[in-house]
Amino acid sequence: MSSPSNTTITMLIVFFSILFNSCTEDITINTNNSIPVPVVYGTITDHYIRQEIALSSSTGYFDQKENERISDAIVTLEEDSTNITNTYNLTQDSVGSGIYKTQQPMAGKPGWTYKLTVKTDFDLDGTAENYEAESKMPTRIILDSMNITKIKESGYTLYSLNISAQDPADQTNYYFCKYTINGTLYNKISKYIGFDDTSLNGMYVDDLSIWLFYDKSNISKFNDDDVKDMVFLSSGDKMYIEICNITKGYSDFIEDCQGQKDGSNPMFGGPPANISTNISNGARGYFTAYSTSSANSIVPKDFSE
Amino acid sequence: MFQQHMKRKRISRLKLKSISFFILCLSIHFLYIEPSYALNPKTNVTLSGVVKDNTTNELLIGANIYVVELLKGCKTDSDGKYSIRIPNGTYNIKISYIGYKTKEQLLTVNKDMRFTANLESGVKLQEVVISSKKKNENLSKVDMGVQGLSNIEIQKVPALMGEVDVIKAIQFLPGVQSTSEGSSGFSVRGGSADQNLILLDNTNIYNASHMFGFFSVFNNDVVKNAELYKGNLPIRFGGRLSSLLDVQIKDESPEKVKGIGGIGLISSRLTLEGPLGSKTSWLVSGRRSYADLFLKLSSDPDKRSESIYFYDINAKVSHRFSAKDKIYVNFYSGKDLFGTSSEDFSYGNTLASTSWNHVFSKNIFSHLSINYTNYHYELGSSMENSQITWKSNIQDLDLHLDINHHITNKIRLNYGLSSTFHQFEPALIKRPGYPNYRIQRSYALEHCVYIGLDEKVNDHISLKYGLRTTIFQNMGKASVFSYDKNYEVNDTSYYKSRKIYHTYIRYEPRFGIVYQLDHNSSLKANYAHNVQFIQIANNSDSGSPLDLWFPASKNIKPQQANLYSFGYFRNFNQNTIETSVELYYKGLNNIIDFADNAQLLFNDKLEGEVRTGKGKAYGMEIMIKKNTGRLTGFINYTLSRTERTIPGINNGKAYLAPSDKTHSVNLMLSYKCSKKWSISAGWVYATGTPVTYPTGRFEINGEYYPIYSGRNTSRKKDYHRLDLSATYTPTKNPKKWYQGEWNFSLYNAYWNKNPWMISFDQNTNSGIPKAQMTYLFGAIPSITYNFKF
Repeated sequence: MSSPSNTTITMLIVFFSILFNSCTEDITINTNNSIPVPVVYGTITDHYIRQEIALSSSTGYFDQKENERISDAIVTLEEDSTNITNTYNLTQDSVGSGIYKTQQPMAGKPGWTYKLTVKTDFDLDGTAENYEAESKMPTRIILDSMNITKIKESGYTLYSLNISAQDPADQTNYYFCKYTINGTLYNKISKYIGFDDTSLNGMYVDDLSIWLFYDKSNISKFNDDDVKDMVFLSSGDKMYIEICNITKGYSDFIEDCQGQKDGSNPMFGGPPANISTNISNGARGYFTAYSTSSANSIVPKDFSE
Repeated sequence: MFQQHMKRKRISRLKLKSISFFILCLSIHFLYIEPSYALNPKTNVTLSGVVKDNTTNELLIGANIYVVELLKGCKTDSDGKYSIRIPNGTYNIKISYIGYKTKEQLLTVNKDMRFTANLESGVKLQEVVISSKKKNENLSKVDMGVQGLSNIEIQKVPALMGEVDVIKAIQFLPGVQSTSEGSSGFSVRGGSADQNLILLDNTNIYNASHMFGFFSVFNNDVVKNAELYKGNLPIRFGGRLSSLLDVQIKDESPEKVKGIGGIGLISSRLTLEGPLGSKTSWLVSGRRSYADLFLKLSSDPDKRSESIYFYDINAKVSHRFSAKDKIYVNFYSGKDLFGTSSEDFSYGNTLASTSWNHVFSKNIFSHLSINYTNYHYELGSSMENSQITWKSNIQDLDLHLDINHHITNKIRLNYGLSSTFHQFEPALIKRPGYPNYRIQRSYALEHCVYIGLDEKVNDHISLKYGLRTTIFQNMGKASVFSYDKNYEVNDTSYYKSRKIYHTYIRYEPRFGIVYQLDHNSSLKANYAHNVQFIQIANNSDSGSPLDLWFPASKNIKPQQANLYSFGYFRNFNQNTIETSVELYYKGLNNIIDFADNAQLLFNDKLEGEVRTGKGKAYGMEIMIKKNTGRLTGFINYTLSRTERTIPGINNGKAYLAPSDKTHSVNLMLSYKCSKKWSISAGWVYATGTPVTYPTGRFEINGEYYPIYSGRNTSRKKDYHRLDLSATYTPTKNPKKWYQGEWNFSLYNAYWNKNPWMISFDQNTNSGIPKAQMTYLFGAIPSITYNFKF
């Protein structure tokens, strides 16, 4: 299920950094600031929760202030199957947070279409603009099991996150995996594990590795700058994962975010480009609906072999 | 003692100058004076033969054969052969070649006869930095934008980590830019790296890099010479928009086994060559890096199982069946491997070719060759739960017949045909327990016929013109997608194996003229129309090894370039100083780039990621070079601009090409201090390459993501670098069977931090984004020991 490109390219980057002891230092560059636009980000899941949408404003790249929240918007969510339509109004619990939630918990339903409308006078011309997006929630993938195995490789101790599941044969499917470690949710997009069924369409995957984590004892082998962006595991850690069947658009969005976040690498990246969006009217961000499937495991003490 | 030595040297240099001047005057005469006897000829006979180095038996290309009494001459061709029609009689024949002592011979030529001239090398007296086959050839030949480098010249360019490299040497030439720091990818007049045709003994090399491009596949010990054509390619070559780098392997016929080699920081190399009987000669060469050998000394068993290396093997055998027939067999294999105990990545080229040179008559020579090339890479993991191999390659099988036909001394025809079978394997993935997964292979045929003519119209004007006609055909088995205007697949067609399902026919006219103003100067103009049918889907600047070549098709039109160039060439001081100013304009059509955030690997709908449009490149190249004397070298300046306008990229507005550099200066100097010491210095300065900086950011879950408002609107800071090298050649000890030489080099001598990558990170405390610059190399010293016997 996992596309080999991510792991192999990571591997190449490691080789590359071993080969050439390059040096990195902070610099100051001058850029023009583009006109701020609204940023809409929200995901509707099949969990029975108060679904939420975050609204903020973009800002100059090197601006020293945090991005401003949009707190005066009217946010509505519409869910639609063939004959039923429900509408929800989303509001902020604390005005100014920019986090708009459904008033009551609700669960999104696979196969239904979700439409988001954000109405706000962002350009301050006295008339509110509409920023809209819609997404059809894909069917669930049934995750049969998940386990973690311990591997020793080139002086490092690694943990492989393996899953067993049936991939639907009908079309190319896109997935991402969110996880918590000892109850802490790793909710940043850069920590998401994205993959698709290219090369394994319709297969039953049996204990297939989707990610490798380093053991905490390896921290000293990396520089501080890298460590702050890495996730380490230790024996006995409790891991909870959610595998989500997502749309191609959202998968591209995650991949773009991960690829563009730190700028482009001349060896392995393409030219810098804007991250894709499905929000209308010049806004940034993404709105999507996805279904989830979860599993738990404990990081093992011994080597699997 | 030293002063005396200097004095002697000065005298010999003066002598050489006068000899050179003499040769120059003669060659100008034989080129531009129409002999009067031609109007009333006696019986004409043909004098033909070859010109060779008297010790190595190496055939000399472009040597001058001059009949003194007739004021008439000719040059040897690419096989070292010459042929000249003269009235019967007894003549003084002068044979000359730069770097060799001129030979004079009295010959009575009463019937067609063969004469082999053996020239004695005079290289030690006369160092040549930028070789010119004839003293003022730069003025008289029609070609523009052509630079030749010999093995010796390449050797002089200070090299990164001591690895002498032809591609690094050509990056010092005007109009040529490295695609990124230390890379063996190069951009010619604003073109991209895949627009360069790179040939090793006439066989295409698809990826000429080792170690992610920091070294090239060319082991300089086996390189005879390299020529770079910046757009106006010889008529027998085509298929690329920007340039041809034609690297020729040594073709000597030594009388006994001899060797050359070296031990460097990165690699060691050994080349042996020798005779096998009187008609056969052979060459075998190997080079291997050995950083990984130190890993074997590690106490950690994991480290011991790691490997990082590259190697090259070159082999060449030539056999002369008769005075008219010679056969060559060439082989090259090179590989890079990076491996740990459970993962590895390798890539490399395999080339094999056979060619047959035949002399039909005194005036017709043919060259028939069959060439095979294969660039492949493979990644594999044997790690538990993620066993996988991923393979990709491109293979060509090519048949080429080339005929040189000297109709008269003034008119030479070059015609021929070629046919190439391309096979592209984008990705084959194997996992134990799962079926194999393959991105569909694609196949194409490329047939070409060409004819070109060199014509000397009169004393002042020479012309060169020709036409290539190429037929490019896509061949089954294939599933071919059709795309709508949003690049989504809306139809699929299936074609059976070997079914030709799409054909392009393209004509490539080429034209050149030189107008020689006087003995010292000339004006030239060139036009070339080039078409490129295959290209790389790889949008990294540095050229990662994960190249994915793909052909023109129903959805992707062939890329085209119209190159116009104009130049003024002038030599000073008896041709010892050559100067030139060249202006060029290149208009590009169907030029390729990729959609924002394109997925190029593992994408069977790759064509949906391609965007095509127009481009233009224009500029001025100024070159001053000094060819002889103790101090040799050149300085060049390039002013240029390269833009692309492609719908779907940068909102359809024009943007700068990644390799655009407004100003570029290259300085290369070599100075022979004494018999034992020589030093070289290379300095490069260029405007920083275009870069795209974010103009805004948005935040999701505590992370910041960039917003861009245009592509390549900023520039990195200017690039500059000084490289130094010194070579110490001890006096040869007659008791020793070999001659050694030490080379010391210093790359980036004043440690300029040239940005390789600009990246972004969030401040650990505030979380606010900051910019970071990565530079690859500080000052890198190296030492290499070379030897020959």
